[in-house]
Amino acid sequence: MKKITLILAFLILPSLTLAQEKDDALAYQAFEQGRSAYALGRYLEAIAHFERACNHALIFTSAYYIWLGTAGERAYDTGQDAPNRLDLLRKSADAYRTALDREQDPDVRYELGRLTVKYAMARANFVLERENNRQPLPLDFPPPELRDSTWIPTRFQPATIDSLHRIWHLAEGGLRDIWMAILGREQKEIVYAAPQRSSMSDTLQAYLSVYIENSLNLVETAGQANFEGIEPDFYIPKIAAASSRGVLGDNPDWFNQVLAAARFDGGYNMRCAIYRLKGLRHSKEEEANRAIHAMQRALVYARSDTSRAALYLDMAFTAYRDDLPRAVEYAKYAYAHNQYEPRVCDTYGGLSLSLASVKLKEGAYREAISTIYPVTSFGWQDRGEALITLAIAYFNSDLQNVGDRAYQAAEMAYRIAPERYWEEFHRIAKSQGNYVQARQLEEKHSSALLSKKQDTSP
Amino acid sequence: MNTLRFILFCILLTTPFHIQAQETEPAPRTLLKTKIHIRSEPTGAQVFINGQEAGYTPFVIEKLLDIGDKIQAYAHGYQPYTRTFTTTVLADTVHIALIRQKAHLEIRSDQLAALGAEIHLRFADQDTTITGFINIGRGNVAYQSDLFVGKYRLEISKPGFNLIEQDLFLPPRGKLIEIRFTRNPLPLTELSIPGLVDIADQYLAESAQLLAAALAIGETAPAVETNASIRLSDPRLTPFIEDLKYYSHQTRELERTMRLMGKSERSLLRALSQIDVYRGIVLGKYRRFSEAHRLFRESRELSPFPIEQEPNPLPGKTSQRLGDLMRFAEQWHTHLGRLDVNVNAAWLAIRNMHPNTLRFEQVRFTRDAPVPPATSPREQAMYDSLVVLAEHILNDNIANREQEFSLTLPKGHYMLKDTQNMAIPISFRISDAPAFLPISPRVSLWLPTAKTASDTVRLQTVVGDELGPIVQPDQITFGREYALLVKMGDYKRHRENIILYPTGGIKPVWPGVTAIAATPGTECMYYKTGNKKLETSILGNIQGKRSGILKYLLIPIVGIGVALAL
Repeated sequence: MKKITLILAFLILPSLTLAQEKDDALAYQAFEQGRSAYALGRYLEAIAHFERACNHALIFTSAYYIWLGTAGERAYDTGQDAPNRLDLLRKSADAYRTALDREQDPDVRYELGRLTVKYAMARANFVLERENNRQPLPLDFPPPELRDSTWIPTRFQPATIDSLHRIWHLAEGGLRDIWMAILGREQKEIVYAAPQRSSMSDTLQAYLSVYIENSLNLVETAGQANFEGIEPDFYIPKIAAASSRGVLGDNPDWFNQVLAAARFDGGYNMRCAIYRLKGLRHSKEEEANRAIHAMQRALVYARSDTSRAALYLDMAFTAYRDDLPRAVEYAKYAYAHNQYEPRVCDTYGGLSLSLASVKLKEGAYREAISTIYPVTSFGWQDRGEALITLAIAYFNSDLQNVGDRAYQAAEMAYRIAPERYWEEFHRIAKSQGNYVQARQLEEKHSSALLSKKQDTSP
Repeated sequence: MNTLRFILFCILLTTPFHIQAQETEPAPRTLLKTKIHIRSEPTGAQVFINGQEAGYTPFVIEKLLDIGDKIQAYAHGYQPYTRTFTTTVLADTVHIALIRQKAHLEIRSDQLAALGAEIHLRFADQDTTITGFINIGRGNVAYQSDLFVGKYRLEISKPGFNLIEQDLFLPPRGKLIEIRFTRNPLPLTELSIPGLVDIADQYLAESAQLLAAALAIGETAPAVETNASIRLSDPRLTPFIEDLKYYSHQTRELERTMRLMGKSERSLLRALSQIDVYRGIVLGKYRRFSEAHRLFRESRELSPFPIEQEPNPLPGKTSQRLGDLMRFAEQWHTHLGRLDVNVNAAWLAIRNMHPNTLRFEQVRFTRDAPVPPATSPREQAMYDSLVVLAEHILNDNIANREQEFSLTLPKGHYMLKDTQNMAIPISFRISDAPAFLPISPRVSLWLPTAKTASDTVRLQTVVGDELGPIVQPDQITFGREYALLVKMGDYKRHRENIILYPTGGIKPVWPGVTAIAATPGTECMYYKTGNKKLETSILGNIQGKRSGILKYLLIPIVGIGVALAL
């Protein structure tokens, strides 16, 4: 047995020593081969060559590691169906970490951070997908028609939670690396080299936007695991800090919008803000159900009534495209939470008015009354229109003894805008037998009536 | 009649024109242009018509351009232009719109410093500048782009490095440029002091935002989290502390640079000390009062102004002072004392010790109480949480195989215990002076029980050449030398130095000392069943147990035997 071990040792040792041989010529040769493979798009082959270069090299090792990291990322990006793609990305991040150890440069740190976050996010998606596929349906799982609007907190395995904790830790480390790179770069730009062209370099702007996007991505992904093991509120001051720098650049609007979105619901509630952002994005992509689902998650986390009203309003705008009654329902909830904001009142009133008009056209007068009646009780921009619609609905409906109500509604509308609604009021007054009122109206608005008649006579 | 006249009149009117049209028979030819202007954008393009050089734009040809005629134009930096006419040219000008040719430019470097370098390419022909950078989010180690062929002014810059400037001509076949940066550390005297101060101010403002967000955690708990009362060790605060630490580090670097320049800026020191205080406040929320206190102390020394009088950075609380936020951590720090823990190597080495949880049991009824009793349930809950936090830190450190570390505990008396009763229980007192706590696995060694006052069964620690205090046989630890003394009725008189080691571990070989393998949690029967078991006198049985009947049988038999022999 001992003899066999010795023979094996003799066989293996030379090959090991050959692999570890340090020779810059060999390294450069491998590097050149790697670069040509890289240029041809054969990234896996390039990785093997660059690894060889890194093992052999004595000088310029950091540059070889950079190429290794880059080839790894390219191989990951292009090889969609390749097995163990994640390993490529991890290897790539490791290569950049070695490069950073060799040379403490903020820009290398940025690349390291970016790749680390990319790897962590890919890993998190992999774990979450696997876990979601494994989730059994609970007994009280809602029927399919309610699934979009019902949130069931997912229960993860303890092992999954552990691995997610490690992933968030990794991602946070990556983001911290990007942030350190930003501060390092900024310090150099401000202190060590006076800016020649603008107050901020394009590079720094790119770093800032990448930092913000990745932060939002991390928080959103962590939301799938109920924010287990992460503090999303940490990213509010971070996004604020990044935005305060970003507004000095060429694209301040984007940074301002992101900051406003992150400071939703009082400025200390990233959980709510991230789901609202997700909902708005889906809404923009015209995926109404997903958008509303995301906003309902945001509602779970919302703290203030103002924010809840704003969220219901967003939901109403999203649902408005293809489901008007649902939109009215959401607007009603918004009004219930915040009755003092004109925007909420106007939206609720406007949507109700649209629905009531549709119902009037369909001849469903009772439904029109029930839709429009609530929005006549408070002030909003088209309250007069709502009142007159209510009056018409009463007037045409088969309900008994509602003539007075129609008259009152028309009278209130008339008081709001006499010139606009006097004709309807006149008609309803006449129908109610209030000829004195009708006559008074005719006298008062006779000039308008005359001119109208002249207009229509030819 | 009138109608006839009108017809005749019309015939007379139209006749001369008709005749004229008949006279000019080659009418289509006369309508075509024989003088055609050839123009191009840009001008100066070389034009060939049907393969014959016609001239450089703009020019005029006195030739008919008919169906099938081929016109070609060439200009440097533009794509070749070819057109074959499918109709006869009726216009007096032919416009040739040339499209710029593109070529591939690659700028690369083997230097790591090239990463993040900004590239500005000013195109000479137009007033346009193309910007880019190396390796930004694209996974490129080189700058690659397809640009118009032509002249450029290339500038590659990176802060801290010399600017690379050169005139570049990009030929149609493309170009590869290898760059090499040289470092350009500016002399310290040329550094921008206002820039340094601005950055420090920004760091301070951002740290204040972090502090506000960190303090808001738990206070404004979301609806789904009901348990938002006292949190033990809140890991959610860790990223805040890490970030504040980094801001502190960066500001310290700025301050160091300023010192190297031989200057001192009060606002920089102020920012640095305040950031440290913010970190201390967050640590205080985290229940890490001793670290907070240390930071407060350092900040007081550093700050040019009284740190407690600095403004409160929280929004809406400008009337308050920073000292108000510091008070919580400072007050609690006075209630705490330090405990230096030393964990026995065997405790760390033995695997089955790790799931064993150590805990501190407060001894409430002692002769002297160094800490006044808690005045409110909240305060009591805080005390309890600090003890539990210390237990967490203790167990975490042991799980991480830390052998020596310090803890903070509220002042008072404690007992160290564990769930499986495998550690040597020890009592200690936390006061102003640091207390010491050794943690060792407990081994129970079987020894005969002394029954009379004259019997001696004693285990003592060996300290140098002398014997230390007496140790109970069920509280022996690994790796320490003990002296065993046995002097009792049926046993032979025995004195031996022993050392215990974990079963399966490395056996210590000390001269004159017996190494005994033992497993914590089970009784070590070495002296009962081992090779060097305690020997009994002839009257004792082999197991070491006295047997009265045998003794009373043996003595007469031996007596009778002796008598017979005599």
